[in-house]
Amino acid sequence: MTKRTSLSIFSSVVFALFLREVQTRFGTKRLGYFWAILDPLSKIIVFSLVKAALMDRSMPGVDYPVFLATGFLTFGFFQAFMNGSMNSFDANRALFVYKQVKPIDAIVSRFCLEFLVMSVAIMVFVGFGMYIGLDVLPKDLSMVLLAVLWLGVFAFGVGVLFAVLASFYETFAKVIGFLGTPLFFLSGLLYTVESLPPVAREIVLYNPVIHFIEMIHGNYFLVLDTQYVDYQYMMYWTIIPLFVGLYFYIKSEKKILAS
Amino acid sequence: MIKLANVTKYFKTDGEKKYILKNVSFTLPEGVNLGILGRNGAGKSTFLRMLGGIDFPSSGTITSDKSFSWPMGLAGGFQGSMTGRQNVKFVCRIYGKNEEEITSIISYVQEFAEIGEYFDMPIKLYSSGMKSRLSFGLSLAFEFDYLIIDETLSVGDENFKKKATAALKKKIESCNVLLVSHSMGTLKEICDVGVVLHEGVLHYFNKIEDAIGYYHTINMQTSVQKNNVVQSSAVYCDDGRVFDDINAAAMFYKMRPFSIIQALEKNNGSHMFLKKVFYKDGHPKPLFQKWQHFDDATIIGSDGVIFENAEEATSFYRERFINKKIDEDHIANVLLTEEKFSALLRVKFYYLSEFQ
Repeated sequence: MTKRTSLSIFSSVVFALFLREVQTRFGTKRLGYFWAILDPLSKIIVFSLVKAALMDRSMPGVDYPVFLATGFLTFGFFQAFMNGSMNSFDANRALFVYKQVKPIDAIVSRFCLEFLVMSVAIMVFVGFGMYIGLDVLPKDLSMVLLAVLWLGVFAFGVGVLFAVLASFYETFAKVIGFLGTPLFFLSGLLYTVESLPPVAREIVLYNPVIHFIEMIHGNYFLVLDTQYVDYQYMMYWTIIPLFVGLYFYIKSEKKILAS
Repeated sequence: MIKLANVTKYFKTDGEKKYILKNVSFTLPEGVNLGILGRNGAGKSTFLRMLGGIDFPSSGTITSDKSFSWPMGLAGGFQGSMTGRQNVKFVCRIYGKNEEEITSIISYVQEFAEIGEYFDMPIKLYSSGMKSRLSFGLSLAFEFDYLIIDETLSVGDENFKKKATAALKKKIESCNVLLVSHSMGTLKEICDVGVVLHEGVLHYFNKIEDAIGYYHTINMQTSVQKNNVVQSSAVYCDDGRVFDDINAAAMFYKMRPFSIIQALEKNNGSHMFLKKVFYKDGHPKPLFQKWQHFDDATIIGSDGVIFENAEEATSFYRERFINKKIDEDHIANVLLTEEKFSALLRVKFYYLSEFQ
């Protein structure tokens, strides 16, 4: 057998795992494709109706369904990847009999999958929105893309860290699972930071996710801005978990494989 | 060549360290097939996985510049909702095969596994036999310096077993094997050298026969040590297993306790199918004898008992089951029927010559 470089092994394993995840998620249940669209769509409809029912007239100049869509799609990716990364070691444990397959490959392939699902969903929504005549084009496309990609890097770092921690402390995954619902309401998906009272503003801004969502919203809609986005705070949350996570991972890779 | 340097491996159970290897240094010479023996729980499988690079020592290093297969015959690496073909493709991709190689590997595996249209159905619909066929074929389709086999030679039906053994023998002309097995026959057939794992120590033998001999010795010793006094009810078996009593042995081999008792009483060669010899400790230890004296009339019951002819069988069962009212020609008559099944005894009979 010819020797392969570690990069080519890594890429072929990630690619194989990626195809495998695509096959298992979308192959057998045709609904898989559908679900990626239906899940955010149903939430958008529900919350739009709630807002209409409450006769809430805040956020003039913003198409509320579009506002919801931008948040739900990106936050959905973040949440799906968080949950996915934490069980990616266990879900792929049987594959560790193949020497080439390392635990991190499972995280990377899952990341690629979730990111792709989000990208496709965004494209579908933009296309559909344009078709029914909603104002779906962003104010500053490049900044929105930067925000989404940054969110990806942030999610990856946190995902690696959480996955390693979850592999050693079983309760950790459960705690993070509990945090999912509050996080949904504390991440600025349904409102802007500006619309909150100052005390609440201060509290929610400790949540790093809301900065990403605000950055997306602020650059997407003409009438909104990014005055509450703290880029430095976002950078801390991107770099520290990523490096700490990778450090712990390298330290404990053999332990994860053997356990 | 595989080199172990100061290798220690332990598992923690209830805060206590259970050692599999304790500071072991050892070099496996090039070009030999290695059999790994040890009592249950001695860590054979873990040792095998460490040699193959998918488990790691607690301290020390294992180095080798050879390539190793995954533990062969293992169905764990399959994804149930994917088809056989998709699973094979997945493994090919991991190994960085190009499209052309993937096509040839797929056709090889498909041909070897003989699972027909199931090849394109989800694995979760497979029987365990089909899974092993697929995974066995898959392992053989790749080139490795060492094949890693963990007691998988006994999977599938008789026909497939023959085919698998033949294919494996052909394969090991071009590569070597690291094998864990409880079957002494398989070990002798395939391996040249052996190691015995016992209480954290690795004993290496240049000849597999010596390893098997040593394994039997420690088997006896451990059992005596464990019980401190000789336990007269313990039953030993020539495949190296020890049981607390006759019932345990009977349960394990799925035979009636009577069959075991009968073998014990005969004490010299047994009535057991599979040619096992049992004896109680404390009795003189007879040498292993194969069941050789059989002719066309020799029959075997599905309960594992062998008889020289139908008359002997009838008298045996008449004696054991007095209240069943078995008539004198019962088994002879049963043998004339097509199913050769005695509803009275719930036993099916075969001529032993059918198995030769």
